[in-house]
Amino acid sequence: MLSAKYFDGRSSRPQAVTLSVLNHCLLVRGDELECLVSADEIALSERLGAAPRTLRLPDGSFCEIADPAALEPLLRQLGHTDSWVDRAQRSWAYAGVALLLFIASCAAAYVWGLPWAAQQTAQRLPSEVLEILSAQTLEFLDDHLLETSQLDLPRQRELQAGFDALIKPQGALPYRILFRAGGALGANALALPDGRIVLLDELVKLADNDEQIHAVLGHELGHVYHRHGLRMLVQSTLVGAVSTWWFGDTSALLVAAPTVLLNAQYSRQLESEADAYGAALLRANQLTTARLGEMLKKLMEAHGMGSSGKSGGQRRWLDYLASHPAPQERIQALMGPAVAHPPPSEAAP
Amino acid sequence: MLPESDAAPSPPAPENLQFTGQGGDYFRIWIVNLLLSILTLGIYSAWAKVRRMQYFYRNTQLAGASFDYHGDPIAILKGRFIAIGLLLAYNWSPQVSMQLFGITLLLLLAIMPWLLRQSFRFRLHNSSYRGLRFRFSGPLGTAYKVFLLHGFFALITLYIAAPLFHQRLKKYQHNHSHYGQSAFSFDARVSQFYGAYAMVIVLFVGMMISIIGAGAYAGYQAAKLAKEGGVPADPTAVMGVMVVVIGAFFVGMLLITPLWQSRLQNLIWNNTRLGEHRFRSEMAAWPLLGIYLSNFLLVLLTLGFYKPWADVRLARYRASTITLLPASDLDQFVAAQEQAMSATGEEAAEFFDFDIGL
Repeated sequence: MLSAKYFDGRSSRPQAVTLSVLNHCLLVRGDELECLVSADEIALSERLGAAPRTLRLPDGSFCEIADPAALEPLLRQLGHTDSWVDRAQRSWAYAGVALLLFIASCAAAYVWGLPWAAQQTAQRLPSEVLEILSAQTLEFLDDHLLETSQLDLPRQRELQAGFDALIKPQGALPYRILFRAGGALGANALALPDGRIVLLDELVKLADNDEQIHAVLGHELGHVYHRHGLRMLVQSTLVGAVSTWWFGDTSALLVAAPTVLLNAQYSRQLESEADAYGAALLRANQLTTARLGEMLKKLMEAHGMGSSGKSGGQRRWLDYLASHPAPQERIQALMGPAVAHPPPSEAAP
Repeated sequence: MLPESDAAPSPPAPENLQFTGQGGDYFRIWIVNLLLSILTLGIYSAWAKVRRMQYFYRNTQLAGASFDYHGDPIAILKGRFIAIGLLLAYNWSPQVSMQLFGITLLLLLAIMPWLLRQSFRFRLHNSSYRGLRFRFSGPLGTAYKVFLLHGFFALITLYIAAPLFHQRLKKYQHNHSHYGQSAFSFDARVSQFYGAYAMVIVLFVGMMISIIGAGAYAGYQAAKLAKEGGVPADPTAVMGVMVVVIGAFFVGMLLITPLWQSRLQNLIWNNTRLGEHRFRSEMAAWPLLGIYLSNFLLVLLTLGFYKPWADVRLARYRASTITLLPASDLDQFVAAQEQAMSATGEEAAEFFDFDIGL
């Protein structure tokens, strides 16, 4: 026999009752009521820690049992078995396993799951979407950051034709080179999702020869080929959403750091992919991958990221925040093959 | 002369709200549900949410009985899909065009009052105490007036009208809430809200001035040093200053928030009644700050896994600050008419669960 509080669902007055089991039926007895309810007509609330449990009767009334542990023997007699989730939620062993599996799942989702899903989504979106996204970005750039190119038209056509003539690994891609003056952006090149590649005058001037410019264009074409713009959009949105959900209740500050670090890692991976495509393009045209390395070195120096003045520890820190892999690593990855395959004689542009 | 009738019986003793949950218990429930949620790519999260609400409701005791939560996971799931759709539209429309973003923003503003009213209805309808359900009856028109008129007004006056907005919001929420056949009422005036906000605003402005001032000074010094040395300003130093400024802002908010929350909770609940019964709220800023700070540090140290204990600690303190001052016997509440019908769920199906945390 177990004491409980009975509420009839029509008023807030509790009635003291006792519960017992009779032939697989629940017997509820109090001063003003006595009823027998068969086990399958009772709605039992889940066991949640030491919280009170309710036994809901068909007419809308219910019994509240303050101590769920005391209810267990009665439930056995009624023939009730707990769901597996119920049992898992009570066990430290299950909780420990759940914790490990959860961490493993999160890591797997970050490393494989999300990049794969983003890649599949990006590959399947129609080209109209790419155009819309690109138009928006280009408009912003032209309105606020870039100016008309100072290169004369024959030079522009020369560069375009020179790049058009190169074999593209993995087949042809729609692309177009747009020439601009970089202003505050300095020596740079950037790829828009729909294949338009913006090439800045300062980068053209910085290069020793056209092969280096083609190397950079190849890297940018790699971004187009892999649809990195879209991939990063999908990946960073999800990273932001998950960080907010995980830490948001505690502090907005805690959300910022993981979001930045996780997005930076994704960004570095995409840059490495673009480097690989650029290197493949150079090799497909019998050019040395060192060209891309050389150009990276020049860009590094032009943007004041030379190796002088920074201690090793400081560099490590910034590497984690950087959206691009550390220049030294990229140059090494690209110059490496140059040692194995000696450069052919340089063709005049 | 007839003997004088007895003086009115003394009202029942004050009843303190109590939270009886334990961090260890809740951790086990939380982690199992978390794993199931990630394995089902988030679908199970609706069931996890129901469990969470039930854990916190059922462990909240008042006058010998506990609360209960009846939300349907499917309704919550539907609401979550819609919320995700809105979030994606908000995040991705600027990528397509600023015009689309503008349209999306206007649409979101247009349906926000409706969504929030729905969330009040869902939350209250699915909450019960001693077998009687709560209810929200606020008209849709008033929701629009409060959010679009007062909310917008608060924005354009750079939040000077924010206390006014807050008072109108709480008035709307509490004046249209019911327990069984009894109604809640709210009688705090706008001036009292301004009083509660005053200290918070002073501290906030002071914090902003000191942080921005210090940051600007540090930046200026760095630039000056660089110029004198003939070296271009080190970008690391600038970034470092920015990180410190932003960090100081969040720390400042962490310190000011408990003050704001305690003053507002006290004001709101000290001026809320259920029928003739009153409430008393005695939340204090310092204990709350202690809980927030220790929770923050422990969550940081454990990369978030301390959260179940953190939530339980906060719930325990919050409950302990609220007391019901009954004017009469608590057994006298009566169910509202529509509760006599069994909850078929067709009414519930149109509700969305949308947590705004106000």
